[in-house]
Amino acid sequence: MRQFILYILALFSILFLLYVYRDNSGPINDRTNLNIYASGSFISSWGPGPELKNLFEARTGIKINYIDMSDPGMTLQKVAFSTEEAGGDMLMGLDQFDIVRFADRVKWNDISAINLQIDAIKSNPYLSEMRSLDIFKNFIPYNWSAVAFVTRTDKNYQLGSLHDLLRPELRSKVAYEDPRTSSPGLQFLLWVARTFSEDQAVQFLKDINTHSHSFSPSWSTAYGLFKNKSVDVVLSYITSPIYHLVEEKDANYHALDFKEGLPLQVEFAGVLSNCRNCEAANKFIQFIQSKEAQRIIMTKNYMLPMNRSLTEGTAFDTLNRYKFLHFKMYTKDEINKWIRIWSDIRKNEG
Amino acid sequence: MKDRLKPLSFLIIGCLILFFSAPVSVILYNFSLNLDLEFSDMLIAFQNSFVQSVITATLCIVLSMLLVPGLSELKNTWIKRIMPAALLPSLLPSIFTLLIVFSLFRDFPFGTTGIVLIFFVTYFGMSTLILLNAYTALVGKYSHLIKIYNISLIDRYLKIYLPELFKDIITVFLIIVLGCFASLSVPLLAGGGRGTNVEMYIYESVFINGNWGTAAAMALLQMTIIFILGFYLNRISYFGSGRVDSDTFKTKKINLSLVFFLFYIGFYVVGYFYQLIKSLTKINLSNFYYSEFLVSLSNSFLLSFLTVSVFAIILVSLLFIFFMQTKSYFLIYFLLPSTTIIGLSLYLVFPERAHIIIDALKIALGINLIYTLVLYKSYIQPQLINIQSQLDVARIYNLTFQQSLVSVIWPQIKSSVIITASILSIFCFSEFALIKAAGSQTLFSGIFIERLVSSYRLEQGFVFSFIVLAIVFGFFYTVRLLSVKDK
Amino acid sequence: MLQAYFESIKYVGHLLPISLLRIFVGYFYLQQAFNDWKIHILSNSVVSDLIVDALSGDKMPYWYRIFLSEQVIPHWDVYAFILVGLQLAVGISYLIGYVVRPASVLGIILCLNYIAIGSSSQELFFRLLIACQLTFAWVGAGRCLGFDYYFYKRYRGMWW
Repeated sequence: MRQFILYILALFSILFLLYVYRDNSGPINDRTNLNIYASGSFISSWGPGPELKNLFEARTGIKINYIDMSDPGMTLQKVAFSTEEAGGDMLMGLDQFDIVRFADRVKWNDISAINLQIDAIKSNPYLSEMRSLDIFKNFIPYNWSAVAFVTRTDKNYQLGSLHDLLRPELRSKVAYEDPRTSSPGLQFLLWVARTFSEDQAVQFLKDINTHSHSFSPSWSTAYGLFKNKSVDVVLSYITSPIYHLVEEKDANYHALDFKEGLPLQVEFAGVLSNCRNCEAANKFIQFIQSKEAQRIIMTKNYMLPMNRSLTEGTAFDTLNRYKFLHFKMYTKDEINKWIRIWSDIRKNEG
Repeated sequence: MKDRLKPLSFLIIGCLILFFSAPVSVILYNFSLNLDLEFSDMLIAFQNSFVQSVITATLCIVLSMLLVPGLSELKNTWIKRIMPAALLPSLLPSIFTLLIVFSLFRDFPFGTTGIVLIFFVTYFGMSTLILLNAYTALVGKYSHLIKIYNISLIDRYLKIYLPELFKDIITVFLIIVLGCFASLSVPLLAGGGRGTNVEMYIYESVFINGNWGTAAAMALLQMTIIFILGFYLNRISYFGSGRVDSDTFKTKKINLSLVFFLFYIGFYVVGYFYQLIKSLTKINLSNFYYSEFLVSLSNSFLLSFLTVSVFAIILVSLLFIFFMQTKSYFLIYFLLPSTTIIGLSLYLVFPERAHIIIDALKIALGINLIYTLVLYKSYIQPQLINIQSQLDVARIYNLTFQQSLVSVIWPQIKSSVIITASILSIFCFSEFALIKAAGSQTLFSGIFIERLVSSYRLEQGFVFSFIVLAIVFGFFYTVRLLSVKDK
Repeated sequence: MLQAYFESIKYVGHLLPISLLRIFVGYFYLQQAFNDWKIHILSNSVVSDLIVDALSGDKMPYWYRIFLSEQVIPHWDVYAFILVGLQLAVGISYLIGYVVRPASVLGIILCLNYIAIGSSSQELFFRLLIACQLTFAWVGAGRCLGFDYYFYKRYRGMWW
């Protein structure tokens, strides 16, 4: 009898746990739910995700479910072979390299009709090339930034061009990211390729390879070395000092302006063709282009809004003095070629 | 009775083989095996991985073997309590180890030296603890004889320590080699040109080229090499020994081994606490993401519970096989090195958006796939080998497996099982690579800390990692205190 | 224990047909439990409506009617949870052949409950189910192809 009582108690305990942890989110194909793939930092409580979600849900009554994606390339691969079971309606956080390299693995909806950024893009001279691209058929840009070298103001490095990175006093003092595993690293690689001729670029990369402190697998590791004062200069984003100024009240960081111009990183959102709630996805695409959403993205994501006038009166206004390179969409072959060159340099110089 | 249960033991072995080979099978089922490998790239990758891992493993084992006899003679219980801190480098995210080591060097020796240095810091503590555990279980009884016959140092090592501990040394060697093979961030950051290793090759195949068939082929090749190596080395005979009560020979409170080992622990712990204190001075405690942290902590506790439950099932199966004396040594070398492969296979098998318990179960299976056999081999099997004679007696007297488990096996391996379960649970709180690869949508503490570190909030990451470790270590220390009697 | 499970076929093989029936009934209970879990627990459908409809029937004893209207209807979600739990307990018990005798008693009580609140078309089915469960309890159906055999060998007694 004791065993029977224990058996009943154990069973009810498990049932109780299942009841407590039951899934209240509703079925995936519910028309009132919108499932969005976004990065972990976007959907965390310190990212723009929660505020955007609350605002959108209050306006439209459509519930947003964020799906954490570890890496856009990996996510698109998973979406590609998941087909029917894939739960996402749309994807955010694709940069121009992800679109070229990975976006063709899945099909996207045509959202050109809801692109509200045309005027904003027209008014930004650095984004002028973007107007003639086909990507607007399937992707909408919602924020942008520039890759730059960030240093501490008290170090007083006067660097004005890529060549200055090879100065003797900077030996083992600059942290980079590996182009194979990191987006800023890839930006740097293509920045060099764009600035110099091919032979000069290869030589420059070889020199950087021996002159650098390290090539980290990710931005967070490189930035960690910088904050830890293991290095004095790090390859990061132009908006990084703004984060320290606003969140940490620390004005000791600044991004270096290079005479070649700083390369742009633009982030796009797109709607998957196998979306269950395509209408809600389109509504969200329109929403993130609104002024309120753009402000939230700017202040939480620390990226610049498509409409530059929104930066007026904010800490981001100081970034308007920098010189940028015109936005460029590289082809897959160009990217693969330079990654190959980089891999060979790394293998042979080690 | 034994003959009737033999088919069952073979069935269990079959199930375990299916379980541990499932990730690669799932990948190969979904993607056709692609042997379109660039031979030169592959050779460089394997060469780099091999050199880095073998040097690290050899260095760790040699230094551990030098320290272990001295450490086993210690009587100070406080020092024994501090020793688990040596596991910190292998438990914490690698970025913490990298930052601590880099902060010590003005000019860090990038290249093979740098990689070996970081791997050494990561694995030395773990290898010393595993070998100390094995030494205490197997060799301690010879200490008295050594003193009586005044056996020389070289003879001690060549004729007593190495033969007795050979299998455990091989296990530790393989664990370290696998850990080095599977590391992406350390070789990439510290290695310079030597940064292209096998895991990097798999990463390039998967993330950059989307070539899962190649990644699976590489993982299969890697697994096969380790399997063959381990199987071959395991066939070399060794000398079993009876149970050791090493307390008899504990006479010292401090010795040179302890000094060196405390120096190692101290270097890492001091470095970690230095970073922690620096972080505490920089963060704003009023805006500290407490609710997200608490949610991640509670989810990690659930994950920990499920992981230990799965581990318990696998452990009972392994104990049954051991009890039945079925030849299953090859199982121990069935080691799956690639977290990416395991993560993707779990993603393919389980739905991406599922109930939290299914999500946690998915990760629990993944954690067991990676760590169970390794921990079993390191902590539990040495104890089992010790009690083999007792199990022989149990079999002679026709005791069933259940009776032997309850009255003979469990009382003697309880401490090791609790240590193993604790280590597994700690991995549950710090794991994030597997969780991301498996596409889990539940917020666990490892993911929460990784998100902080990935978004300017390295200081918060340090602080939260400390809080998590403090809670987990405290919880399991309490459990251990309550369940194991002090000797 | 696993060994005893299979050995039972050799030593108590005459109960094998009853055991197969037991497993089938256990599967039926399990299926009902999963369906009820999805419909009444996860989807929060209002079970109290079903009970109110049942109160209008004439097969219900007076004391049970009072119990349902006073105690069950105000806490219908707890009642639904307990019912599903009991169905699951009986189903698992029959499937694996563990504590079958006490589970049969539970099952009979459940069936009586369904007769009281169900429609007359279902009454015959539940009576048949009661007869099956009485048989399980009488012969100790868990002893063949079940874990009860292991405990029966060790502890004897009427519960196995």
